Amino acid sequence: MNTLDLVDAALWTQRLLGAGLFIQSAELLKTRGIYENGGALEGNGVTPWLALRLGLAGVLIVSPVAPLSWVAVIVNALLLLNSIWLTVRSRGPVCGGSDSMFFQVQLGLLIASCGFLEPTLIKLGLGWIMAQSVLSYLLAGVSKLRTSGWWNGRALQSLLMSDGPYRVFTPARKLASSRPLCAVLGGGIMLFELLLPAVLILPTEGKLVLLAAGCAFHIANALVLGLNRFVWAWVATYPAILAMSR
Amino acid sequence: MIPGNWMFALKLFLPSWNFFNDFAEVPRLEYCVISERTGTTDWKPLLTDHNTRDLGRVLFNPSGNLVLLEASLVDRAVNELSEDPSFDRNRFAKSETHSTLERLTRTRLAQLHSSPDSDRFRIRLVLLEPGAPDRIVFTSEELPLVRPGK
Repeated sequence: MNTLDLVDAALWTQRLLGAGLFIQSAELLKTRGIYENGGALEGNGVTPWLALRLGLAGVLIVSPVAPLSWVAVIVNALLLLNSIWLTVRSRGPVCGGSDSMFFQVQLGLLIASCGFLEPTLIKLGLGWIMAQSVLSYLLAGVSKLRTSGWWNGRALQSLLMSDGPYRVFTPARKLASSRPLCAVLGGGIMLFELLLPAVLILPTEGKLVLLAAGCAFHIANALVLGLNRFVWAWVATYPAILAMSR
Repeated sequence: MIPGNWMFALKLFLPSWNFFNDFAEVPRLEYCVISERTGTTDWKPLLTDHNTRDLGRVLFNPSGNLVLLEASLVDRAVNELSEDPSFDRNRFAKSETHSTLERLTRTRLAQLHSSPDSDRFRIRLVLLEPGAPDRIVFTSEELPLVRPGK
């Protein structure tokens, strides 16, 4: 089975990233009242800048030009600047970790899109995305490993029972009634996060199994906790993983 | 010194990947309304809607992500208070962070509470820990429910 070549990986990265940023921008436009007069983050108007973000994200999805070209560089650079503006304007990230990963993918993609000038840059950019993605799983897993609550089920139980900040999918709250079940599920999450870096050395079939598990993990988080932006932010890193870990 | 908001932009370049590793303390923003007609209400949490059966949010979740953004503003306020060993209550009351919480509460209360212009409210930041008493880290002065100048 063949893995992705570098240019295809850049193309799929930009499409998945574009889809994530498009959804994020549409969501922010719908709830832009928080940025308007009297809103918690009141200040200068955000609508034109969010509309620009939406449009640029749409360009990434449609990909009318080659992912390694001056036009791609300009689109990626404008989106990166827009992300910095959004963070400053929001007095912090708009959605925690997903913003961080979106930004790392944007940064890597900007570097990769300069690959038509110097071929090493595409490897550098995609390599950056792969490294950040693998590190994110590994560090999250190691961090949970050190927390007793993730071993005995208390952490997952608290999360599922919590009265904020997450809107929990009501049927999933039933899982919280069993501490042993939460311990097993928590152990599964830790195992998955710690195992994911194995994508770097596994054969293609093994990589695909782990990345499919990754997709399922993020979709489950979107369903249970509402973290839909995380799906796109992390899945956008998978083409780079497949292409760079050949 | 780098202004606070630009510090957040700088942090984009230095991501932290520690997710869900500590549930010891959960910050919560609470409010009470002070009315000349009906007296003072009990303290209530501002962000209350924590259950959903919406499957569509896997794709599109504007209201859920708005709640997360609002919760992160509360989280940052608590961090700001906890990280300041020389906490000055009056200084915090005049800070942008306080104004943000004040506007957040006022916007929410405008949806919940139809009141005469004379009504006021207070906010407080509480840290909740399972099995431990709630810890109040800040309580505001009385604030106008209708924005001054409106």
